[in-house]
Amino acid sequence: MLQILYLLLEGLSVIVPALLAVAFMTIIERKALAAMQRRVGPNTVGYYGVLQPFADALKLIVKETVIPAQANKVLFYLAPVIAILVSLLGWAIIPFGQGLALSDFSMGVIYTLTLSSFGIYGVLFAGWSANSKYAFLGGLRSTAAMISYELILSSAIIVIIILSGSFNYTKIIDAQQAIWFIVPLFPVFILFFIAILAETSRTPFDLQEAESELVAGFFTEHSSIIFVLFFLAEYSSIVLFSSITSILFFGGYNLPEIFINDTYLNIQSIVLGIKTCVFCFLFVWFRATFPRVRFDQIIVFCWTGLLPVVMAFIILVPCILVAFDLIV
Amino acid sequence: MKINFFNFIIEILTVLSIIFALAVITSTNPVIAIIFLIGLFLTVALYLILMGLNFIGLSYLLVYIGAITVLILFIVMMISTDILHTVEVGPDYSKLLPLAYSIAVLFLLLFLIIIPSFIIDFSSFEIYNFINNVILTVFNKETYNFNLINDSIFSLQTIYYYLNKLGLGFLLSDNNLNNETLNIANNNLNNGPFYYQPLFNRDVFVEYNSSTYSLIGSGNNPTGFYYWHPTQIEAVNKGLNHYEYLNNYPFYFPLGWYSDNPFAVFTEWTSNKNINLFLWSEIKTNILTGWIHSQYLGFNFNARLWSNFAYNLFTPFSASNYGGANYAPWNTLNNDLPWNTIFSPVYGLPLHNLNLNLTWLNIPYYPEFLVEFPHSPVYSPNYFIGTHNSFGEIYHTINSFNNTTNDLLLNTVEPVTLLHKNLQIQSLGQSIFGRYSLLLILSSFLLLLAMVAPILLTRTEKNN
Repeated sequence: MLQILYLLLEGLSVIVPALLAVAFMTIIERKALAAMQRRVGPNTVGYYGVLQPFADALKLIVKETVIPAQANKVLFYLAPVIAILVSLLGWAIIPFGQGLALSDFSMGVIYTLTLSSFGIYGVLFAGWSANSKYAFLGGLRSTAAMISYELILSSAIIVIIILSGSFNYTKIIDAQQAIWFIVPLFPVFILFFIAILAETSRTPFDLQEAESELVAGFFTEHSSIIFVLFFLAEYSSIVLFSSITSILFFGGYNLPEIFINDTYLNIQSIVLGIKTCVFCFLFVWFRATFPRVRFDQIIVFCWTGLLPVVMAFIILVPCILVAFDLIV
Repeated sequence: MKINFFNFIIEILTVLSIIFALAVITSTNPVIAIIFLIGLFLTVALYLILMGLNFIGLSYLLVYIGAITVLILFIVMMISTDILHTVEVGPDYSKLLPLAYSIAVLFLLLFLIIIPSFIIDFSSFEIYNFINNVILTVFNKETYNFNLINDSIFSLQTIYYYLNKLGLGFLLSDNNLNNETLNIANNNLNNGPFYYQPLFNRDVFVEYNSSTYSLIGSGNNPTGFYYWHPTQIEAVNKGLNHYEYLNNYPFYFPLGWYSDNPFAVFTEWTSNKNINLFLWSEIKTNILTGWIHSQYLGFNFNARLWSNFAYNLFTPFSASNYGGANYAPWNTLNNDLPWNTIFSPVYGLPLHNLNLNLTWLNIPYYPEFLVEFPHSPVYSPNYFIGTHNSFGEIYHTINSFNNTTNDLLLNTVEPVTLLHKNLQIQSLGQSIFGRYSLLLILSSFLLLLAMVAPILLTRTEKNN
C-alpha cells in the first residue's frame, strides 16, 4: 500500500511541475510574441501578468460545454483525453538528472515514438467526432502532416540511436559526455527540429488552425474544459519535445563541469531546464517569424525534400562510423 | 483462494482481445470498427509486453496502431463521412446479430465435440477458477461439477448437459451417453496414454497417465481431490505388497511412487511463489475421437501448480504428508532406492527423478511417435539414463484404447518401431465416428444453412 502511495507521489512530482511548466509556457509565448510585435502582452493578472494562464484556465473551466447534436459523444470526449494523456505519459521516461527518472526504460526512445504516434488519434477523433466540416478538414490536414513528419522524426532519431547504440535516454546522454550530438549531427538536428514543429502543429506547420480557412481546426467544436485539455496537450508536447531535443542533441542534464557542486542543489535538473527553455523559446520565435505554409507545400516539402535527406543521413552516418572503425 | 494476478491480468487481456475482435466484425460503423481494432492491437501489445517482450510489444504499437491503423482510419474517414447514413443503415445489418450469435454458439457446441478438449479446458485459467469461486461464494451453491484437472467442461457428459439446457438433448440421447463406446472413452481418459512434451517439440518426455497420478492420494492437497486408482484398491484387496503391486501394475507406479518425498522442499519453496517456471504442453487424448492432441499449458502451468502436481505424483502415500499410512500397507518400505538429485539446467526440475518414469527423449513431435513406458523401470535405475534412452528400447502399449477394464496386465508391449500413426482412429475414433458422423454432418449442414439464411433474407429485402 505504501509502495503504491510512493508511486503516486513519484508520478505527481513529475506531472505537477510539468503542468505548471505548461501553464507558464503559455504566458511566455504571449509575452515573447508581444515583445516581438511591439506590444505589452498580458500584464494585468498577477505581477507582470504571470497569473494570466490560471485566469484563462478558470475562465475556460467555468464556461458551458457545447456539443453538436450529431456528434459522436464518446469520441468527442475521448479525443482530448487521448491528447493530454499521451503528452503527459511522455514525461515518464525523461531523465531529469542522474537516476532521476520515473522510469529508466530501456526502450525509452521507442516509447516516445509510440506515444507521439498515438497523439494523432486525438486529432483524428476530434475532427471526425464533431461532425463538422471545419473540424473534419482540420483533423485530416493535421493528421496528414503529422503522419508525414513522423517519418522524419523517427528517421532522425534512428541516426542518434546508431551513434549512441541504445534506446535508453540515460545511455544516450552518457554517450554525449565527450561531445554533444548537435556537433556531428547538426543537419540532422535541423531536420529533427522541423519534424517536431510539425508534430506539435506549430507555426509554420499549424495549418489545421488556419483561422481564415478552418475557424480553429480540429477543435472548432470543442469548448470549455475539453478545449483546455487540447490546449494543455499542445503546450505539454512543446515542452516535452523541447526537453527530448535537449536530451538527444544537447547532452541532456550533462554540462561540462566548471566547478564542483558540493551543495544539495541538483544542478543537473536545472541544466536540463535551461536547455529546454531555449528550445521552448525557439518554438515561440519561429511562430513570431515564419508565415504559415500552404498545406500541399508542407507535404511535398516533407516527402520530396526532407525524407531523402534524412535517409541519406541514415546511410551516411553508419558508413562513417564503420569507415573509422568506430563500430564493427 | 490464491490468485496469480499476473495470469489473471493476462487472461483478462485475452478475453478483452476476443471481445474487441468480435466487436470489429460486428460494428456497423466502419470508423467504430477500426477503433475496436485499435483496442485489439492494444490488448495484444499489452499481452506481449506483459510476457516480457517489450520491444516486440512496443513495435507492435508503433507499427500497427501508430502507422497502419492510422492510415486505414484516415482513409475510411475520408471515404465515409456520413455518420447519419451508417446510423440509419446499421440496424439492417445488426438486427440479425442475436440470431447469428446463437447459431454460432450451437455450431461451436457441435464442433466442441470433435475438436481437441484442450481448447475448451478452462480449468487451468485463473479467471475461470476465480469466477467459479465467486459464484460459489456469492450464491452459496455448487456450480456444475467440472473436473478441474482433466475433464474439459465440454466432455461428452457435459455436452449433454448443455444441449439439454438448450432444449437440444435429443442430439445426444441417454443411450449414447451410456453405451459401450463411451465407457471405452472414459476408460481411456483414465487409463490411456498421457504424454508430456516441452513447448518446442524437441525433448519429449512421456508419462503414462498423469491424470491418475495427479489425483491419487491428494486428499489433503490444495486441489481438493481424493481419489484412489482402481488398481490400488485392487492391489489392497489382493493383499499385494508394494513390490508385487509394482510388478503387476508397472505403468502406474514407477519409482517415484514409493520413494520418500523428493519434492517436499521444492513444493514448499514454490508454494508461496506464483512464478511461472515452465512452458509445458501435454499431449492428450480426446475422449471422443481418440485423437491425440497436444495441450499447451503455457504459463498457466505455474510453479505452484507444477509443484503440487509433482508432489502428488511422487508422494501419494507418504505417511508424513498425507497420512497415507492408514491406506498404504507398504509405506514402511520407503527409501530403498538411491536418489541422485540431478537438477536439469533446462527446466529446473530434478530430471533424474523424472527420468525414471517420465523419460526424456530426443524425438520429434507426435503423431509419428506414440511412446509409452515399458515395464519396470523400477528395478533398473539406469534403464532410462544413457544407454537405454533411444528408440529401440522404448515401448508402447498397442491396445490401451481398447482396454475396457483397468487391468493393465492385459496390455501387450511392443517396440515403438511398430507403432503406427492411426492407432487411435482404428479403435475408438472409428467407432465414435461410425456413431456420430452422420448426425454431426447433418447438423453442421443445417447450421450452415441457418447461418447463410439471414444473409440471403437481408439481400432479398434489399432487392425488394
